[in-house]
Amino acid sequence: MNTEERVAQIAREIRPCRHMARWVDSLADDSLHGLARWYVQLHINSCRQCHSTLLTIRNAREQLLALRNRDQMTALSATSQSSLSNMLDDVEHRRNK
Amino acid sequence: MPIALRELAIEDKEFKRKRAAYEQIIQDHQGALLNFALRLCSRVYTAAEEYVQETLVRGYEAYLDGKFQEGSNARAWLIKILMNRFLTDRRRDRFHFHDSVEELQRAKTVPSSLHTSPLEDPGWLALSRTFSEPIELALDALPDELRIAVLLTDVEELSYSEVASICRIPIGTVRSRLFRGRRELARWLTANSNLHSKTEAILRR
Repeated sequence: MNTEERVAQIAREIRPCRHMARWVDSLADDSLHGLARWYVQLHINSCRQCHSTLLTIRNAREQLLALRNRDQMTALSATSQSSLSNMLDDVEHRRNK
Repeated sequence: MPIALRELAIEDKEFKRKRAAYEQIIQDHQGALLNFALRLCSRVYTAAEEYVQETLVRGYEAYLDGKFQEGSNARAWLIKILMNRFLTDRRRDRFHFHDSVEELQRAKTVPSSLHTSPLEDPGWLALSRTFSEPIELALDALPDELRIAVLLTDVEELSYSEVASICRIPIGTVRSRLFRGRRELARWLTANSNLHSKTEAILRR
């Protein structure tokens, strides 16, 4: 399967039932609770389109969550830190006046 | 010691205590804040650093005013301050005003459009060794409002209601932006699934 076919397939995969679109996302990030969760889960168990949407979203979400563990920047540059320190001093001076 | 002088000394001691506590917050969260700002500003480093500095100064003012509750989520609190600033600037178009098109192109290391092939851009290729994670590129290709929703929810793990409050939009809009954002991400990742290896191959030439 070439890339174009794969993209077309993905577009088909992430086309959930109209009334479920928002709820599948909420299920993917565990923000759906109670009766709504039960109902959406029940629907997904019997709907191929929504089920595959859920899997695609979960996959993208896992990659996003992993980003934080790979973050490259750990601190501001030395110059910025020094100017930040001066700015904080200024805040104190303004308040002391 | 005269009373006035004693009060001054107490006040000074209190400032020092608060400053030390706030510097610890800076120490703990500046890296995370910078990474968040970099993603928000499509990796324009100078803009990201400026936002972080401004956030930390505003945060200090709020901290001295007692607006931060000790023990609460400092990261989310700082992100909220940064986002307020970013959204205000965006409304005034300050962010784009600061960067000429050329400057923006130089500063960015990834394509800004879903329709541009990054492999055609030599500047991007040269810098892409550092920022070649496909998911980062996919995020960068999202329109602002979708990227913000995805970043806050899926990378920073804020709740829908926190995102709604930060962006001043209804929860339903957060949901719909998330759905569109994640769908675009999945499409981009699929369409560019061989991007990383292609880039590496070109860089090795």
